[in-house]
Amino acid sequence: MAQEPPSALLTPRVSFARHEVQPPAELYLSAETILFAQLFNAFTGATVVTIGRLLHLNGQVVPFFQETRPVADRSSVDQRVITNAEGFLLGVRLGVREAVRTGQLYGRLGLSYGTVGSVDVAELAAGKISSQRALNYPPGGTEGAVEGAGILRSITGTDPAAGAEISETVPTNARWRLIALRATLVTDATAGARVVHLFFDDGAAVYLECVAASSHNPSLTRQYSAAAYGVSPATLNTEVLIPSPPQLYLLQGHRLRTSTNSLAAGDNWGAPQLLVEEWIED
Amino acid sequence: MVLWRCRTCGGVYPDSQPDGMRYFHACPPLVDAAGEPHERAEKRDENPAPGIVRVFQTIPGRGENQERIFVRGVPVEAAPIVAEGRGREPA
Repeated sequence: MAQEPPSALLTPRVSFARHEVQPPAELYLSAETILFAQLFNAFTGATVVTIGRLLHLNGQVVPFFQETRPVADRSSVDQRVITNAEGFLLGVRLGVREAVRTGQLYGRLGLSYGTVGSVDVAELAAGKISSQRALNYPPGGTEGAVEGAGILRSITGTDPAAGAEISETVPTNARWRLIALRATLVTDATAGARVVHLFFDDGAAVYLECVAASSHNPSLTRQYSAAAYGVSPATLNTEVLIPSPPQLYLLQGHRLRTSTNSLAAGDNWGAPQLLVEEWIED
Repeated sequence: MVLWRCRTCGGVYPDSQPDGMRYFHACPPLVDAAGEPHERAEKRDENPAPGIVRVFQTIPGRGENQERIFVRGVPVEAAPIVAEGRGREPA
């Protein structure tokens, strides 16, 4: 038979001196110190919860709790957690309520004077936050936003109008590693062989060009797949394979786009499907 | 997930992905006969710029392609109503 767990409602048999003793925490907050949370969020509807305890100078332990819903555009959101309070920080936890996966939310807990982010005096903890993993101080510890594995994402891009090319832009404050890309091109009856080029640029200047090994005749449907094949393979049935580098990292504002020789006004690219590894860049 | 059509380039795109993350449309460049890309005169790029917040909202009587773009810290109501590029509409 299972033993009953000890009840939290029992009268405590141990008491602690709370006055005129050394504090059990090493982090002293003066009244002008701000405890802040800085968030970079990519998950729509994420509710970030900051919870902790502060030992006031009068010996009282005061819990604090704050909820915020940061915008989901990966931009920096600064949140004041504690202001105008003097005491010792016993602990603070930064977590999220929703089913956020590792790589969709990055956070930082820190101390500053005056305006948040202007004069930071200490970084307590930083790292990726998910529904299974919160930031805690103590013990703290810091992890950079682009350290470790990113989140794998399958992204449906923009379906271009007829006669237009594919172009996907890496979002602001994101870093991508392209793993695979697939898109369909339907050509109309206009004469001329189309040749598909896949360009990678920094928003202006091209730094990589990958070319399909075979041309595409009128009135045909072909699927183009780009991945790290290692060689330039022939067309397989209706599938055209375009080799691309295995470690192709793209920064915010960089683009991957097609440029198709002899693209006719009636030719139609479908929406590209991308598989990328993504990091939030703080 | 809502599908939108960009009024500048005609592209159709979702506003979010199944993984709960938003999608930010940016118009593709026009490519000339020599293969050179040229940005569109009214290019639409939904990506946020540093310090800039973009809020999409339906403005009664003005269609659904409106959005407010404002500097962080400025009240939303004080922000001008704009539609970047030629705006967007439900696809």
